[in-house]
Amino acid sequence: MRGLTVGLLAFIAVFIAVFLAAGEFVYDYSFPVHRFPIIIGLATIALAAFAVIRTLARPAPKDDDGENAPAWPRGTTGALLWLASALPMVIFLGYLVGPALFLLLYLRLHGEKWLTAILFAAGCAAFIYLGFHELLAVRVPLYPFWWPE
Amino acid sequence: MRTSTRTTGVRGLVGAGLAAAALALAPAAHAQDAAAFYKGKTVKILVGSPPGGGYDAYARIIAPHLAKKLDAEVIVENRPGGGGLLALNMLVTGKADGLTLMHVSGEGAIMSQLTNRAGARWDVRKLVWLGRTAQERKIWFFSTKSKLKSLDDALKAKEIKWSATGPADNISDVAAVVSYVLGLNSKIVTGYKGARGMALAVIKGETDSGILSSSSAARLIKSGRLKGIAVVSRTRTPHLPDLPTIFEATKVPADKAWWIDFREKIGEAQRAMVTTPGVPADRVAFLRKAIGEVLTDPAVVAEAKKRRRIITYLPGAELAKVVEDALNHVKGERLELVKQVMLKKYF
Amino acid sequence: MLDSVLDGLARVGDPTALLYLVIATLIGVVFGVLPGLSGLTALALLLPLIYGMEPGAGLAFLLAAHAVVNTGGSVTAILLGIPGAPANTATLVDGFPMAKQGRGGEALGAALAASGIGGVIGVVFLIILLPVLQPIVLLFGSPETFCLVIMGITFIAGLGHQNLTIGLISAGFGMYLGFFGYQQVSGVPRYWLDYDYLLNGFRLIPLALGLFAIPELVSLAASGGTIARDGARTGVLRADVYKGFRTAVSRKWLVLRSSMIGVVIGIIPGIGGETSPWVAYASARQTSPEGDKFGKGAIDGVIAPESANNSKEGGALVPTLAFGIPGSSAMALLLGGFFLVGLEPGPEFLKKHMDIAVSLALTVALANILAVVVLLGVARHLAAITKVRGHLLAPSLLVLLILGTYSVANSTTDVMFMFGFGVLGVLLREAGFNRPALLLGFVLAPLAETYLHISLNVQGWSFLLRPISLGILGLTLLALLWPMIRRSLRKIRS
Repeated sequence: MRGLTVGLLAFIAVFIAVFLAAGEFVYDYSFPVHRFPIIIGLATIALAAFAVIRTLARPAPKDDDGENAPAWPRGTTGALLWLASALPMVIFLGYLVGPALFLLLYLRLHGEKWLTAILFAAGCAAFIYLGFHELLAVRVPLYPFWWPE
Repeated sequence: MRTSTRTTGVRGLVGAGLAAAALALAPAAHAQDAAAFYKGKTVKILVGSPPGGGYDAYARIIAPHLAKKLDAEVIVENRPGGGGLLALNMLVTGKADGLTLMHVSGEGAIMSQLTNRAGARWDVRKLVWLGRTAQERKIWFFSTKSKLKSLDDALKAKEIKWSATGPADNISDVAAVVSYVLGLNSKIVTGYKGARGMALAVIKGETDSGILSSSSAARLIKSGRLKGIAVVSRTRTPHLPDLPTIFEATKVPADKAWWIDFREKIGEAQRAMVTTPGVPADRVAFLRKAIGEVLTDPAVVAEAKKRRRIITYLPGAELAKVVEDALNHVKGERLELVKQVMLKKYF
Repeated sequence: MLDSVLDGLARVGDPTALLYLVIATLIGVVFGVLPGLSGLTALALLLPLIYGMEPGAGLAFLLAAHAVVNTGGSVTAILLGIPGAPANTATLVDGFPMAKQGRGGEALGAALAASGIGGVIGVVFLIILLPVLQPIVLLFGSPETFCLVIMGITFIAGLGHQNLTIGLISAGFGMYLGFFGYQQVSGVPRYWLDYDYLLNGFRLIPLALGLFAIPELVSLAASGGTIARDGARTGVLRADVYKGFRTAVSRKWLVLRSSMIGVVIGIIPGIGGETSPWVAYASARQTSPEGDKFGKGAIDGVIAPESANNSKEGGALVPTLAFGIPGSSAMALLLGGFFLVGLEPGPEFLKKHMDIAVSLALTVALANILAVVVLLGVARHLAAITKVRGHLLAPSLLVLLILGTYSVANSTTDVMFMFGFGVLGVLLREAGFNRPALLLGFVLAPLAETYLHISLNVQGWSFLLRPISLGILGLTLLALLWPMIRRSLRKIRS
């Protein structure tokens, strides 16, 4: 996990640094506006740098649990990608078809029977329409943005 | 809607002829067109704050009645963010078909534009004003715990502290105007959360002074929590008939009186219905008429009153003129001075 | 006063009122249980429905629904590791590990008991304070608020158990993220990149759900298995639930202290309700002899936040009823409800309608109790959700999250940010970063900045010497040093 830890620390440091620089040199924030972010941001960057050095200086941990030094759990990336696919589906297909289709595809391609998948998808669409759109009056965009009025 | 244009000869001529005829008949047909356009459609009233607030309340009172007049579905959509800025941006950058309205803080919109607020994408002159729902005068009050006991004390004081929520929030700018006009040694402390948070600070005695709309201020003054000093206006307010205007309470220097008038004019657009710039004129007229009928309907006024909301209607066209006037009042150097006073001087 | 209490009781006892109470409680619980739908969303959606209701009934309806959202939310937090509402995030830190160990029922029982008792304690305080509501609110000014925020920030250190440096970095990053958007004091939007959405900075619900809910769903989806790990007893027996319940009831001082924290933080308008469960959690951890077990399934880590997030309701009603000043954004919505039915909280209200005020307080208490009873009854069945296959559960919950997040501000952008934070959350979790610290830093840092500015401008640095401020700072110092003090005391004794 060292790679991930170091990577995240670096990301945090760079993220803050970039925005601090933007604040100072591009947006030209006055001191009262920028003072807290600068203080906290610099402190965090300093700590992050320190943590990176310390992590890299240590030998890679293989001791305590032997082979079970914390590693990226299997299947996480795949699961993340799968779940992330819901977003474009919702954006491009609307909040009715999008989630339903997402459920249908997900369930089917993860080994569930057609019947289960279809029932879930249909149930989802019904729940969204009746529960959210009608009952709670949350006007989720039922149609995608490119749908002609 | 997609249209295809054909430019082949005869069709073009016939088309042009028909178009000319249609244009000639247009004025009479427009009112019909607008009504037909709205029939069965969904009209959205945007509100730039979460449900339950003042702007939301008025919008929800209006919605069902407007729906009847327009023969359309009217829903209220809350889009909180940026103190209403987000919603107004959405409105002005959206489709100019007249299906999206907003119950906006006209005052806030004008002030944001005047002070060049970051993120404001509108020009209030181009905004289509449909009608004012409500407007209240601003009340100047002191804390009962302050060392300052009267207006004269304030004039002599070495420093008078005000509470406000932020720059151009319709509180701090009024405070700045009053301070400048009367030559007070003011310090405006911004950062309080909401008008109520700011009022609480004054009640606690954290600061000496503040500004609120008359209905909110009246409640607190009548219960003795705050001490009313003056109405920042030429006329008194029905909420507190015994409270003198600033002109009655003290001598306002003649060359500075315009500041009060100017700020009051901006305040006239306090709560208003607007729609996107560029909406066809017939629809605008149709909307203005419908909204006017709703806001002057005694049943609606009574319903609002039951919910503690007073309606003070002003037709859209007149409101647009008020806004135009207010902005014309300050150009060039004067504008710079206004910005300096309202944003920098006392903060 | 006594008359008003009796009148209030009579109001609540009215059959129609009771019916509304029951319905509202059930709705609130459902909202709480469904991840993505927070108490705020519930109020926003229910508000238009109370048009035309009799004033007391309408308000009671709203309050009852809102008061129990966090009770329902504890169910999802414990069984699924997904906060039903941001205020339940603290519960899942220990509650979810308990569920994974097969002790979900016990955790549920404890959470429910804590919620119920906490809610009632909050109401008791409210009723006691009703006659002196206004002076109480007036005691807490901006300096006191600042000190409380500082206390909250120092407790962040007490949240992580491993690496202090990583914890501080997490908090620092969270704070930095909190600075995006409008600076309250100057109105200048920081780092908004000309992108309208960012004018208000990052939003809390997408952040909270993305950081905490999405990683759990990813784990569920990745393993495909059930939440309750194989080998752990997956059945939830009634006995378990009652065991947890009794444990919570027996931890009297913990519950009382946590409830107090909730009430006090609730009274101060300006500090979000999300803070109190964490402060209670951190305080419980500091003072518990088994502090290291926190984060791995300590039942105290469930009891403390759950007491606080229900008791804060009673506290938040204090400034709301006393001055019409909302103690939280939910209270702001409730205020809207007041206006809707033609009432105006404030000094006049308390004089004229003390009976309504009392009935509202009692409504909160009753709703809390009812919610606990209902949930206890179905706890066993709810816990069965930990036996549902991950492949079914994960995508379904994700859809709920998407809808819930959208409902907050009618914004697809919120949904997009939730996914973005979700990715970040997965990475942070795997690398062992302190996500609670990030969240708290995000919430508290802008508050600290604002209140420091106000305090300095109003009083200069002497604001630190105000009695209550000093008291709060003193308590903070004491809490920080307590583990050390306790160790020294032990050494002295032995």
